[in-house]
Formats: sequence, C-alpha cells, structure tokens
Amino acid sequence: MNAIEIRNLNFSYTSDKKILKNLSLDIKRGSFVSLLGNNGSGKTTLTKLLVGLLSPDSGEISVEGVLLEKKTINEIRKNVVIVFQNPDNQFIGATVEDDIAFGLENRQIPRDEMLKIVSKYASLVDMSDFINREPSSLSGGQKQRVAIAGALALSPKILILDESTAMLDPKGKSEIISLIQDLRKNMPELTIISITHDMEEAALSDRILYLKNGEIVADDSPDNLFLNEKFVEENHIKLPFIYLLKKELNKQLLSSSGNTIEEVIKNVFKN
Amino acid sequence: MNNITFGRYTTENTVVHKLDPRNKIVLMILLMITIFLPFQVWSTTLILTGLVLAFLIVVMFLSKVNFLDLFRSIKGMWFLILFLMVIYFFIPDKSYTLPIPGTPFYYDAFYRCGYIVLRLIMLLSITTILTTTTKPMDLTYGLEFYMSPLKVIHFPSHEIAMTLSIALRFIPTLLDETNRIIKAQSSRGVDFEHGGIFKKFKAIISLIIPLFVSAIERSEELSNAMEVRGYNPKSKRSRYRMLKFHWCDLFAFLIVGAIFGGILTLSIYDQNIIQINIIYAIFGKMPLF
Ligand SMILES: Nc1ncnc2c1ncn2[C@@H]1O[C@H](COP(=O)(O)OP(=O)(O)OP(=O)(O)O)[C@@H](O)[C@H]1O
Ligand SMILES: [Mg+2]
Repeated sequence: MNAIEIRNLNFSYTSDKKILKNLSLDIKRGSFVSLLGNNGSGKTTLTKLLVGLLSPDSGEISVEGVLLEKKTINEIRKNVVIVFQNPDNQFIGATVEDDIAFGLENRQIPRDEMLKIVSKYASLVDMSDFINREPSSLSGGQKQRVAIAGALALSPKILILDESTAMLDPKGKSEIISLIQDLRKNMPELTIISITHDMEEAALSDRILYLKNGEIVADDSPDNLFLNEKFVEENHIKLPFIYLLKKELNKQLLSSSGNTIEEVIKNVFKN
Repeated sequence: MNNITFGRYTTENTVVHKLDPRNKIVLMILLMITIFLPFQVWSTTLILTGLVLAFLIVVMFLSKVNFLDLFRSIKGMWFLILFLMVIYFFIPDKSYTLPIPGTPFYYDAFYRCGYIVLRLIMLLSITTILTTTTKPMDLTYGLEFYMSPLKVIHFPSHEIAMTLSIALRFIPTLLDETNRIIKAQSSRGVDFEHGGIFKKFKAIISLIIPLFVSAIERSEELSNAMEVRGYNPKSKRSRYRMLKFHWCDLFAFLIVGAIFGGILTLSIYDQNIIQINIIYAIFGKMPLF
C-alpha cells in the first residue's frame, strides 16, 4: 500500500516559471525516502503541496488513500506532519512541554491524556530533563528534537523532515540522524521523507529521489545512485564516505591480481 | 541588549511564584489602587503608604526579587526627583505645610516630591513582583481568563492571548537577531554609536529594515508550522496549561484584601466624615512641619 500517490502534478508560483512539471510519484508505506535536489528545485514546494499549504495547478495527490481536496485537508493533515528547517521558527509553545502539546491542544485531546503523551514523546527524543525549558535556553539540535516530538505526538503516518538538520552543528545533526534511525526501528509503519543536502544522511535511506528542473531525474536506491558515476559526475554530488570507500575498494578489487581470497585481500591492502 | 534582566521572570520556587496568575493580577490592581487613595492630612497619607511599602518589601523578600536591580532602576529617576524638587520649591502649595524657617521655601516641596517618588517606587515594586514571579505565558493565560467573558460580544480574546504569547515567545529570538544584524552592519561600516541624529537615524534604518524582513519571513514559517500542526483560530482547543487556585491564593487574597479594604475605609471616612490625623491621635499635637 502506498502512503503517497502523486499523479501528473503541476505547480507554479508565477506564470513564467513552472516549479513542478507533470510529476508522478508513489511512496511506499513505512519506507524512508530522501528527496535531493539543488536550491530552488522545488522540494519545499512539493511538501507544501502535500499538506495543502499550496494547491496544485493540476494533478492529483492522495495521502494514505485519501484524495487531497479542500474538504479533506484536515483529514490529510492528521496523517502528515512536517518538521521545517529553522528550529526557531517552529517552536510555538513557551516551553518544551507546551510546544509538544500545541498540536494536541488543536486536536482537543483531554488534558490527562496530553500529559501522558507529552512525557512519552519528550523521553522518546531524550528531552525529558528539559521539559520546563524555554526555547532561548536550548541548542538548535534540542529545539529540532522538540519539533520532532511535537510532530510525532500527533501520531502521524507520514513524517516529512524538510532540511531539518541543515542549521545544526555536527553534533546536533548526528543526534537527529540517530533519532531517525531509532524511529525506523521502533515505528516500522511510519513513512519518513527526508529532504536534505547531506549525502551521508541520504545514504541511510531506502530510496533516493533527485529533483531537478521540476522533474524527478533519478529514483533509485542509494547503492545504485551513488555508484552510478555518470550521474554523480553530472550533478556534482559529493559522495558519502562509505561510497567513496566502496568505489575505491571496487577499483582495487578489480585491478588486483591473485586468484584466492587471501591473495586478493593481501594485494588490495598492500597499497 | 541581552542583559535586560530587570523585571524578568526568575525560576525560583517561592510562595509568590506559586500563586495563581489570575489572582496575582487582581492583587496587583488592588495594591495599585491602595497607594493612590487620598487623605486630607499628608502625614496620614505618608504613614499609610509607608505601611503598604513595608508590606511590599516583605513580599519582595519572599519572592526573592533582586533588590539591586530595583535600586538600579530607581537610580535612573534622579532627574525626575530633581525636576520635581525645583518645581515644588518655587511653586509651593502653602495651604497645608509650614514654611522652612529663614527661607522663602515650604516643607511642602519635600512632602510632595517624596510622595510622588514613593508612589513611583511602589508601582515599580508591584509590577516587578508580578513579572519576576509570573511566567509571561501564565500572565497571558491570566489575561485571557479575564477577557473571555467578552467572547459573547465576539471579542477575539483567544486570538489576542495567542498573539501575545507568541510575541512574548519571540522577544529573545528577535533580540538575538537584532544583535546579529548590528554586528553584520557594523562590519560593513555602519556606525551605531557615533555621529549626529541624522547619522544615527540612518544607522537605525539599516537595522530596522533587515529586522522587519526577517520577522516577516519568520512569521510566514511560523504560521505554516502552526497550520501543519492543526491550528485553527476558529475551532475549539483543549488546554495543556491549567491555572489552579491554591489555599495560598486565598491567604494572599485575604491579606491584600484586608490592606485594601482597611485603607479604603479609612480614606472614605477621612474624606466624608472627619479627617484622620494619626500623628495628632498618638502624640496629641501637630507634627513639627
Ligand atoms: N512564495 C513564493 N513565491 C514565488 N516563488 C517562490 C515562492 N517560494 C518559492 N519560490 C520559488 O520556487 C522555487 C522552488 O522553491 P523551493 O523553496 O521549493 O525550493 P527548495 O528545493 O526547497 O530549495 P532549498 O533547497 O533552497 O530549500 C524557487 O525558485 C523559489 O524562488
Ligand atoms: Mg526548501
């Protein structure tokens, strides 16, 4: 079953420039998909279309089997949450707990239930000790974890991370990445779409989509995409360390002499 | 610009911190009215206001208000004191105090000036107690509570409270931003500290415009984030924060209520029946001046 189905989607802000051109796409439920593309390629626009913050010029979007229309927007927003790039601009509550509770308040969850959900998700993102803190006393990574907690507290089926690690330092970044890894283990039903410029991050996903000039020009597993030299060259992709290693090893393996395993290994690691 | 500590909420755990913000708002208003109640005899006014001041000082101790900060902000009023002194010295109200022997001046200047300064200090103390012991957000909840009856006439009390709370939440963020822009513009050669009014004005413009642009961008992103999480100003929401009225709220209300009620009664008595002169009542004679 697909979490997201997009058919012939067209969108433009102004009449002179098409941002998305006849885009069609299926995303499997429970998969972890990375969406790559240069600045201005329309990634954020696509996510805004998915939750009805923008409406398409033409084409259809279905989320969890529900067709996106004016009257289904609220239903769809119950299933999809977005964590945005700037941790400051999505921290709505006065404190960590208020912020996690914000979406729950909107859904009119009773208070005693809210208390349980808030403490559950605060501990899930490892922010239990900071529950009373105000955003100005938190690091970017912590704020972003709160944003993720606030999103997950709504028990969505689809989590979209729009460059959620872009403004974080390496430590904050790796915290978020390991949080995503945990989510994948503990919530196998959750579909995660991650928009990123970080190839190390993309390498961890099941599937990579590459958006260019309003079209998806590549749709493949990280293995196939990163080892496709022509594509990597054309799009100036900075290979993740692990793929640099794989590529190098491949080269060495193919060019190394020897017929037994021991001989090959010996030759590869000699130089 | 980041070191505005005066009047900021402190994370202490005192009785005053624990009071219900709705209660604190009412108590604050009662105390403010109290210090402006009129009496005919000035020494009576002074004594009664002094009593309220003593009470405020006790409360400030209880709520661990930083007295140093308070003194610092009072120190800034010296110009006002000087100004009042000069005015009152030369335009004295001769009706109720005696002249200072050997001078053309009246004691009245000291009295009126002292009284105004005292009132200002007390107003400052009252608001300081409120803001250092109450989270801004709780204050908004308190205000929303009092505004909510107005919903009947379609007054947007919830929207106002939400707007206020978001504004409060973004003050530190925008202060950070301001500092960043000041640094960025300074490094481009904008001088914020020297030069005449016109130059300063130009420098400020180079700060305000980027600040506005970024604030508008932020608000756009914020409204997206709120919408995605299901916020709709028109629909009902449940509440995570609960305001609770404790026994200590009742206690505080009784104390402040007694002070307010007592002084109000005295004032009405003083104005309408017979003038109250505490000094005369105790010592049997008029004060020296
Ligand atoms: N509100 C808007 N009005 C007009 N044009 C817009 C608007 N928002 C974005 N655009 C344009 O649409 C294009 C796609 O923007 P979008 O934000 O979707 O890109 P993106 O892939 O998310 O880029 P980035 O990696 O920088 O986040 C850009 O050329 C941008 O200038
Ligand atoms: Mg973007």
